[in-house]
Amino acid sequence: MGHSKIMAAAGETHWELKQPRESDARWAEISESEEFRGLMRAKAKFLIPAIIFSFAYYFALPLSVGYFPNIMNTKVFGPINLAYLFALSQFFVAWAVAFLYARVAGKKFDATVERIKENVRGRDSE
Amino acid sequence: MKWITYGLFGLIVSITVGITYWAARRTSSASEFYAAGRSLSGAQNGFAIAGDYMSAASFLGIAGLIALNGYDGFMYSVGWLVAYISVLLIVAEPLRNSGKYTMADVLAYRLKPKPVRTAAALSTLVISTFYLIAQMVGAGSLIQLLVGIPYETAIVIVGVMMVLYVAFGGMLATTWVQIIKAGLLMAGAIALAIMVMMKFNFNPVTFFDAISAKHGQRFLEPGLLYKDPIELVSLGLALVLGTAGMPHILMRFYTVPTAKTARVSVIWAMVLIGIFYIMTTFLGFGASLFLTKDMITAADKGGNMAAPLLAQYLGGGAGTVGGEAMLAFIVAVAFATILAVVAGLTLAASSAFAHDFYVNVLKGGKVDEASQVKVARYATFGVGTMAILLGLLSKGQNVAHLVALAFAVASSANVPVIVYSVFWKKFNTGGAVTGIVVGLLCTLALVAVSPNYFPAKEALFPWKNPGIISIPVGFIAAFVGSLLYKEPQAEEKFDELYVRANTGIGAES
Repeated sequence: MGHSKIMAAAGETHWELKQPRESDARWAEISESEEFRGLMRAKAKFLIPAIIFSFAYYFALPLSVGYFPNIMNTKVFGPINLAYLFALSQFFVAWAVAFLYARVAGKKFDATVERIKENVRGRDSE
Repeated sequence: MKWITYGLFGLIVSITVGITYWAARRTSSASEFYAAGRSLSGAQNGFAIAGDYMSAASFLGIAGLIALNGYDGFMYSVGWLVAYISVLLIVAEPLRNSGKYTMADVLAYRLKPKPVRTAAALSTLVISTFYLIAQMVGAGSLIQLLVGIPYETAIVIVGVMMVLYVAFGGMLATTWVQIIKAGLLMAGAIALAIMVMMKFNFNPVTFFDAISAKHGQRFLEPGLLYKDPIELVSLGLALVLGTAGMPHILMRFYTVPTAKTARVSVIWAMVLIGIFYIMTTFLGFGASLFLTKDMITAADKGGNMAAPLLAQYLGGGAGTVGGEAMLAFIVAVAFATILAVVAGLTLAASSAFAHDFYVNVLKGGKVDEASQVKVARYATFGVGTMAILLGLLSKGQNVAHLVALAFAVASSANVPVIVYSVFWKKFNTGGAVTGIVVGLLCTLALVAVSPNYFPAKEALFPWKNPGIISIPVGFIAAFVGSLLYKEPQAEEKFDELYVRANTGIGAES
């Protein structure tokens, strides 16, 4: 019952098995480990606000041009109005969220995932 | 001057056939056929995602929309990029970690494989078919318009090419067709945008001054095309969620070796797609400046000729060598664009049929590698034939709304079940089947009684886009279905999927 077995077991479709499989306990063990729970907390802390912010910012565009056209028609640079700048800013905001996520995931999440994998290997070789 | 166009078409055809020949020799296992052996780099997959996603409708259609309706066309283009936030933050990495070739793999991981694969294959086929019909009809009329080849011939050429790429070269050939197309499309859009802005010394204020002077400030203000904000929100919901449920996009995440590469590929795709849509603004507004509305609508009512005619103008005008060469180049880019998108859709539809339905539902997964690839190839011929026939039958029909419909189905039927499957322990087979079937039927029913088919006053459903209703219905149906159905096995396997989706332990390599 080693790490390789978990790896192999994961590839198969074993819903048909009536008995809980040997490795079920191992998956549960990983999912309850402090490391994994920390990873999921850190992910939730970043992802949930990021998703809510992105959607709110995006839907603010059709709603504000639809319901407050007078404000949005305010000219800012020559004929360039607030509505145009708001729409253009959507691109930069989406990019900013994406780059920020890539940075956080690359720095924090990936390292934690590596530690979890190390632990699994370590325990299996004992 | 037609000869430049024919020459460029010939060049695209021969390069892509060459790629297919090269790829076919590297495609013998199922993982090679469906996932290019999971060998792509993040940048390659990012270009391919962009090539898979940006259709002729986005290129020619949005430029035309802006040229004819000003600001509203630009606002419409925003959602196509924001959509990738959902792909990046919600689906790309868990999907790569827990699936094999298709979206249904993720569902079948802890649910009963046969019912969920059947339901997922059904929604995949519906989405891909709608999208494919829209693309085929668009391809037929565009090629007819652009080069004067009859509609029927154009459909057959496009259909045969896409079947060739997919059946013989699988995912590898499809990917490289998409990468080349993305490169051409970016080059074309950036070159045209630079040529437009050169005339204004790259000063946006001068540029917009000219637009305001020619069409009035109203042209730069919202409301010329979209009168009802709720309609826009409904369309936006389907776009920003639906992309994360489009089978041909989701499939692309299996072509890279790890979840991290999947993440990098979305970032690449977002950079390309974002730059492209910003450039499109300059094309659209540029066309509105240098061409007259009558010139654009005389060539095509929908405005699809705005970008090609702008290219002709910027090259020196009709009848000049420069003008005709630029026109031919942009037309060739549009042709490559069409081919790349239909190939991706054909591959997605074929894998739903071959991998999900035939191999795993009918044969219970007991099919050897060689036969899996053979079945996938037959499925490709089947999908291709169907697409050609539907394309021929739909001649002259207004099918533009089928694109929005495909996104609405993806967001209402697929997205809820993918999200629940990876994040909600109590989700089960009952929820998955109910969610997909109810989400799908609700979307189709609302569209059938919408202003797409009825005069606005008689339509039972007031909006063209059903997303605002059908997406919550899909989420609720999957939720209620899970509560009504008891399946302890699905809960027991949750830990396994949860760990795997979030760490990649045990992921397909």
